[in-house]
Amino acid sequence: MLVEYITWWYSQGLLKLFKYLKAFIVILANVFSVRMAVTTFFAPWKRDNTPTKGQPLDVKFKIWGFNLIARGFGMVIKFFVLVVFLLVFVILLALEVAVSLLWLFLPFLVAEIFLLGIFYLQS
Amino acid sequence: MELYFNNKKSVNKRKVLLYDLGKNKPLRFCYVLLLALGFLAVVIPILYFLPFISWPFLQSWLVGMALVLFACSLGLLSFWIYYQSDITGHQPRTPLLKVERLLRQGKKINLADFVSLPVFLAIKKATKLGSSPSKIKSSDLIRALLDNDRIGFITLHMGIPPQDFRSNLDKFYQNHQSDDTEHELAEVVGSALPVALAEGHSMIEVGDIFVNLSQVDAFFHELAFFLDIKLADVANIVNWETTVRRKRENLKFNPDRMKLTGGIGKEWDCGYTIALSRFAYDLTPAVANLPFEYIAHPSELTAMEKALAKSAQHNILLVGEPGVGKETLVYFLAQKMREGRAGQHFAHRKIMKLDIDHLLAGAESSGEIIERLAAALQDAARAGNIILYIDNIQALFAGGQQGVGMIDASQVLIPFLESPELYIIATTTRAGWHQNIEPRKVAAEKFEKIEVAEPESEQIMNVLEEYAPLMENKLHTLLSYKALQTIVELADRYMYDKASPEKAINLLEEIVTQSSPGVMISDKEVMAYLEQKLGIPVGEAGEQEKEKLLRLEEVLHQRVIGQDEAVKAVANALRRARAGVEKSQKPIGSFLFLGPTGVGKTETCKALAEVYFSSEDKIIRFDMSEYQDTASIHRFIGAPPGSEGAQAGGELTNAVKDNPFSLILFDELEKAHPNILNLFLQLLDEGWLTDSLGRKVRFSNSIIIATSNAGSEFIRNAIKQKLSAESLKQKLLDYLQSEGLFRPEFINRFTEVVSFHPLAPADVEKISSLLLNKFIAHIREEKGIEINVTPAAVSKLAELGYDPLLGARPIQRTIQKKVEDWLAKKVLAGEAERGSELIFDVTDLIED
Repeated sequence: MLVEYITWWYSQGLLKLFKYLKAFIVILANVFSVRMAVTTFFAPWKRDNTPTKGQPLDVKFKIWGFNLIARGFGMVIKFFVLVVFLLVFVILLALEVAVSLLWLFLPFLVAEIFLLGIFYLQS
Repeated sequence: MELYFNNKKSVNKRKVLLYDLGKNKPLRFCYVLLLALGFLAVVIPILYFLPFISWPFLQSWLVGMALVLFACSLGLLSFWIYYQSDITGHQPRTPLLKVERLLRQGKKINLADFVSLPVFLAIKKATKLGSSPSKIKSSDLIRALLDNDRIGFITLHMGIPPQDFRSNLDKFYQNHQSDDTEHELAEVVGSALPVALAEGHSMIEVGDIFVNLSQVDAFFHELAFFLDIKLADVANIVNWETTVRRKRENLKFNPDRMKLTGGIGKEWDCGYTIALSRFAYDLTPAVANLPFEYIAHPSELTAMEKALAKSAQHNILLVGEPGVGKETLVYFLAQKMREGRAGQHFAHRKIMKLDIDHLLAGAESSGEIIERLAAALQDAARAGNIILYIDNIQALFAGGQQGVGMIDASQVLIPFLESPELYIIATTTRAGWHQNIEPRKVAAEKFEKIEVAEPESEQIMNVLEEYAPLMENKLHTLLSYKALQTIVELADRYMYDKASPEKAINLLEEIVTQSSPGVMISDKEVMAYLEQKLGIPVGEAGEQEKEKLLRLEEVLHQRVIGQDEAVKAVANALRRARAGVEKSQKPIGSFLFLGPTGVGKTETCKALAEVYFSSEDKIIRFDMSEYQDTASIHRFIGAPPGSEGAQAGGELTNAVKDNPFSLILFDELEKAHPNILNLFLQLLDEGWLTDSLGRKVRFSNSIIIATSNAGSEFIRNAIKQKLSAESLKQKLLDYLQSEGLFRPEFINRFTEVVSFHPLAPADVEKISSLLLNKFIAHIREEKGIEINVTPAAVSKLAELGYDPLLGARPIQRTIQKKVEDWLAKKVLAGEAERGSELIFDVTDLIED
């Protein structure tokens, strides 16, 4: 039974763990709409873009100005979100590395803590 | 096939021990307690700092204890992860699908590796119950399986609790020991393999074994007969249980099936929808927790996705009757989009439902409505992530009609229907399509029309199987599988106001909400409820009704004098309908009554309506002499779409739609236009007609009676020649055909062609007595005067009232003239007062 448990822990169990860890990264990217933020980084905020066709030049300049502001606003928001995402991502990654290490060493850790406890009890 | 079952060499052997231990409740409690204690042990070292614990021995003992307990907890936690993943979520190393291929290659398969752990345990237990290791008694295996929760679900929905199942099984095999034969274990498990594959199981589950046992076990056959369920239904119930369990599992987080909803920025790249949001709302929150996964129209959903994926003119019009599931289709699509499962093209779009009532509310002119609509459509097109859903779009196509809110928005819609930015899903009924949309060709062509038909019974069952557990949990009742089948069957047969599956769902909800908690709802409760609701016999006939049906001729003869052949024919048809011998969509019975006037044709109809539908008022009468010209067919089934009066529908179709449980009487049928007679071919053969608006009107709960005086003279002569009933019928049919009165294919479609004979003098006397008795009873009740009519007077009245041409029809008038006039004189003369007793004799007739 113990052999089966250990075998599972380092084969299927480990694979399953990585699957979950990967899923958490995907969920995080989805929550922060990373793909959308990157692909539409320079797009105007909320499609707020007025066409200039057929307008006099002075109005065209005005519209270009407003359109530029809309794009700039979108970029700022998306940039801010991407930065926050990166921060959270780093924390998540650190946690995931810790969990992976804990998984890898858990059987040994259990044995070690147990033996240490016995040692204290006997001293 | 090289199948064998060796549990000793199975990989399951070791796992089953852990599985069994994991199911042990006290052990689970100890496990959780130890786990908790271990983690709590981390606080023990705090004690180290307490002033009164200062001995070094105690300090190291505390730290040691804390470490040991913590190590145990960590170990137990990791073991719990292992138990949940590899023991309870155990999967065979070789997929079940590959087993068949391996067998074809001639490999030996140990089935013990392909059964789930509960099956493995049940087999182990059954062998302990007495069966040998390689052979097993089906009764032992059933007993062992009955401990499983999943089998509990199956037997409960078969209509029998597991404990009753067990006691009945024990009783049965006490009396039928010879039937309790042993089977090869490999054969029992091997036969469950195709069931498991059909169910899509990754290994052979308890339900699969149960289905297989239902085929071979003698007790099962007896039980199925007793519960009136088909053995095939056991497999359906197992499938139901699998679906319920799968749905529960799908609620858990699964890294392979993640629901990604787009996140915080999914709308950053989409335009503002200020005007649209005033008149439309997002369906996404409604579908977020949609508890259903089964879709009754998968091909229609695929067609919708394909149509929406087109680069332009991606507008869909779902056409179907109310209740077929048009809106559900839209909800499913919304759910798929929300979860990012509807393809990249639809990723994180949202469906917004245009609220037409809101659009029309408070508008002072149709111009204002159009303006609102245009603004909303413009917003939807600009936003770029909107699929606009317009339910009952025909309301926007009602141009030309007068009245509040009658607008024709087709001209506003057309440019938007062509826009590549706007996606529209609209729904309409068949009538709405024919009447409002189809005539506006330009707009109609911009839509891809998808017909949504009523699903088949099997699919409706699947829909109910999704609803039933929700209702069961909410109202603490239990619905047997047979009850669901009966709901589907009866909703289809008796409810016409909506289409299925909605009407079946509504019926299910009505039945569950009106039943008391803790009750098991069987088919009988369903029938009783519907019988009460509709006021017509639905289920099996009760004792009283059975007796009435058996002496139906006698009951009808209380009103119909003579005419034995006619009474017998209708009585037989009625008995067939109530006994459930005849199961078709045709009318309950269809009769062509032939014979001279005044011989009892209409009276038979009235008597029949009273017996079957409990009221004479349930007769819908059509005088066919009013339908003699070609145009009259439009009055009958409705005018063509677009023409004047099309909206009103047809007189016949409307009447039957409103009162499907009726006796429909077509008087003087021979006078109707031949085109109308052609309609009868389908009505009598299929049991339904389609009205001009494309609505299907069913006659399966109606009794159809057509009367005709055609051939009266022939009948009269035949009676004089003393022809037998059979010979008369044959010759009459030949006569009708040779004279071109009715075509053979028309006559052959009736259940019975019944000839009514001219009345004999004795019959006329009986009719007179019957009518006099009615009159006497009426006077007794109203005036308190008792009248006795002598037999001689009855005979004389019959003689005076009978007319060879008009039959018994003048008798009523004669009674009125002679007896009522006589009584009136007596009352005015003060000779008849309340409490008086009068005798009416022949002399009173002569005096008159």
